[in-house]
Amino acid sequence: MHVPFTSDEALVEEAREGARLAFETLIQPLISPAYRLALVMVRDPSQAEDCVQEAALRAWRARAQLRGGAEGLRPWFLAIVANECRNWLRGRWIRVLRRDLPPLATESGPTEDRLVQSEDLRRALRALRPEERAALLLRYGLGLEVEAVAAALGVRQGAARSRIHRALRRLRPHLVVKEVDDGR
Amino acid sequence: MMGDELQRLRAALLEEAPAPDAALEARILANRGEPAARWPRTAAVAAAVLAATLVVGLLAAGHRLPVSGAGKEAVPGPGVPAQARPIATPVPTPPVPQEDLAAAHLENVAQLVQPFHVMADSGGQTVELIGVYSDAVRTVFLVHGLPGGGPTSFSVSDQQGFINASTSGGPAGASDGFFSLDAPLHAGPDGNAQATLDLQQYPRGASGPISPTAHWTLQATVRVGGGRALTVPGPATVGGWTWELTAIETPNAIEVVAIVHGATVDQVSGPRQRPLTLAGPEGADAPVLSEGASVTVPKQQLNVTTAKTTRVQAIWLRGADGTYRLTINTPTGQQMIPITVG
Repeated sequence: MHVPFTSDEALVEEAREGARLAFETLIQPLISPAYRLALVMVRDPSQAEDCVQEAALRAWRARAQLRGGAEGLRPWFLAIVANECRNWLRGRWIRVLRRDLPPLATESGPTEDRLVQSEDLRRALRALRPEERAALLLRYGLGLEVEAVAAALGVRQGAARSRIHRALRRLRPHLVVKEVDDGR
Repeated sequence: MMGDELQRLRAALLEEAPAPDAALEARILANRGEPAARWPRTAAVAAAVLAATLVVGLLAAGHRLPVSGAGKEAVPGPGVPAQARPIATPVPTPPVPQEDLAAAHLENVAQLVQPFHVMADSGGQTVELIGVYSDAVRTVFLVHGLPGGGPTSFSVSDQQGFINASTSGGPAGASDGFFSLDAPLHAGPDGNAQATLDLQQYPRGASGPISPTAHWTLQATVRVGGGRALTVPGPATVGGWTWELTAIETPNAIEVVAIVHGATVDQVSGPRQRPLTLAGPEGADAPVLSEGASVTVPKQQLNVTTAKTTRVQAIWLRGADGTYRLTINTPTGQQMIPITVG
């Protein structure tokens, strides 16, 4: 547990100047969301961990590029993680087929219905492209604003919004969307 | 988007990408100095065990530099454990400063803080262990002479080895600091533990991979204090999940641990969601010393089923004897449980 006795802004400045402990103090709370982003993109826990590991190393090397103070750190680091995942996905020479969960029982009451719906939704999520899953996770799983989603994905806000809409449309049979998300 | 659907999407996303095990942060940060490709995962796991001990307390600037002679005598180099001079039993003086007790939330057990006079030198700095508090819930070390500036990390071990538990720390008196472990020491047959507090200080503002500028090892024989199990009801269903509770009171604190069946860490806790709250006999919230939620199995055993058992731990400062009100809070339900303390 890190005990912050100094402001995030001061830590960011120290981290940019190369203070390792300041950097770690800032990065530590981002490890969990970074891992989730990596996992939703690469869908392999070990590989996700490696991507975050590599991203942390790259972030340390690129610390001088950190802009936007403490608030900018999160999308900046997530962008590095997403890049690392993209690189891995591009570099894969074989695609691993993953075993889905066994089908649920056909007899169903209210609880079972919810489970089946939930599992259907998860299957639909798995069928999305990694970038689409990443956009949804950042927006709805981690609660980032569209602006931060765009920064993390390295695209313009409009593109991020389109990606989110497209992903939501593709989930429609399993997710009722009553209104179009406007990024708010 | 409809609220329910948003919740369903969020739940599905977080189930697809569950939170990592608690040691991931330590693994990532411990390995950051080496490229992943040159750092085998097995070594990373081993490093994580060590790194998990690392708890950084950024001690406030402004601590006065210690004692005369600093930097004049031959001292161990950076990262080299210093020679410690433990004393086997507590000594009556010097008294522990009141402000140290207040910072470490030990004012209600001042008479139970065991005074020590154990010194260690490193990096031209001398620090002194001046007191230890030990009970069945927490162990707190009070240290004098900490130089200001860089962040300080610490780990605690005893005769059974490293103690893996959550920790906290911070500045206390003028150049003092407290280092708190949310776990008890292991008592030997004589009721004592051979405690070791390992402190490392790092330079502030250094660039590149760094080594500690000072590394102090402070050892002491500590009387291990106890606690008393509190009576709590059997498993309760709250919010659709089953909560198994255990509770302990000590002279200093009240700890409640809940094993929650059916809920993931994210479902149980969140930024504005405190799963357990405790109100004292007069109705005021008891001050929180520590709280957290975690999975109950190592990462290698995490799957859809095991991720749905969560351990919630909370430690509060103990107040007067009486009937306390423990409340289990979930997004869809709440239950109050009376607990008799004292």
